[in-house]
Amino acid sequence: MKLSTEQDFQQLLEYSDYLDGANFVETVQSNIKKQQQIRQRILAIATFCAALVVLVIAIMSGFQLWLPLIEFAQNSPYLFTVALTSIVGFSFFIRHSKI
Amino acid sequence: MNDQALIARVLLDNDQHAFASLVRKYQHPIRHFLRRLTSGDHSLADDLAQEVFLAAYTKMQSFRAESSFGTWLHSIAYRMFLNDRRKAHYTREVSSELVEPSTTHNAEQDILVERLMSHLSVGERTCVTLAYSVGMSHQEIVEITGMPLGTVKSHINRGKQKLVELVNSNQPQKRSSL
Repeated sequence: MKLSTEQDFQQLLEYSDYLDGANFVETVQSNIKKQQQIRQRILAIATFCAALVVLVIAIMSGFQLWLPLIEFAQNSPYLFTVALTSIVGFSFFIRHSKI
Repeated sequence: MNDQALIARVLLDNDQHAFASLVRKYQHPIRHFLRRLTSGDHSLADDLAQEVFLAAYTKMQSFRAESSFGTWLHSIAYRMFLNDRRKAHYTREVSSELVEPSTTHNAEQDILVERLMSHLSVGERTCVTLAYSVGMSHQEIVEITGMPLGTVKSHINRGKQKLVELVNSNQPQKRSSL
């Protein structure tokens, strides 16, 4: 094989068409599914932990959990709105992001 | 359906079929590109290609359509390769499993070129492959690699010169020793 022209060189470097794509695509899809399952498990664990913390706090406060929240909302309504918006926004982001 | 429509469906509806169409369309150039970069390590190249598409799926929201989707994927592939090389201290040895006697003439030529690539620096390999195999412009190569335009041009010229010398000096006959 001799490379005398630019065309010869281009032909040498051309990709061939023999790669089988079906298995590759399937593997990519199964990897994405696995990643989503891991994410769902992490979210489930985080939710469970948060629920556990809330339960412990509720028990420790004699199930008077809403009192501090009500006081907070009454004393600082703007700050309460900002906090609530942040929590809802973050939850929405977590739910819809693919990370 | 064009790339933009498929990307929109992935972003808005999390449509797996649309993403599969994108993978089907781009798996061929991305896998070949990585095979050239890894000098013919097919299993490593395919593993990296898998990671490229996984990263593309998770980072799809960051795709700004300033360049084509193919260019964006090539830049992810290039960065994946560099990261892997940094981590694994990539060696230039070519695995014996790469010798595939039952492959077609085109496949043999691919394997030959992948092996010839091991004689080039990473920069030369990348620029020559993107310029001649993918058919990208110098500006697109600059976007993918982040190298200055002058460096890209000199990599292409030097890489091409090396390959021409290797092939013209009957290097293919010594394939097993590459």
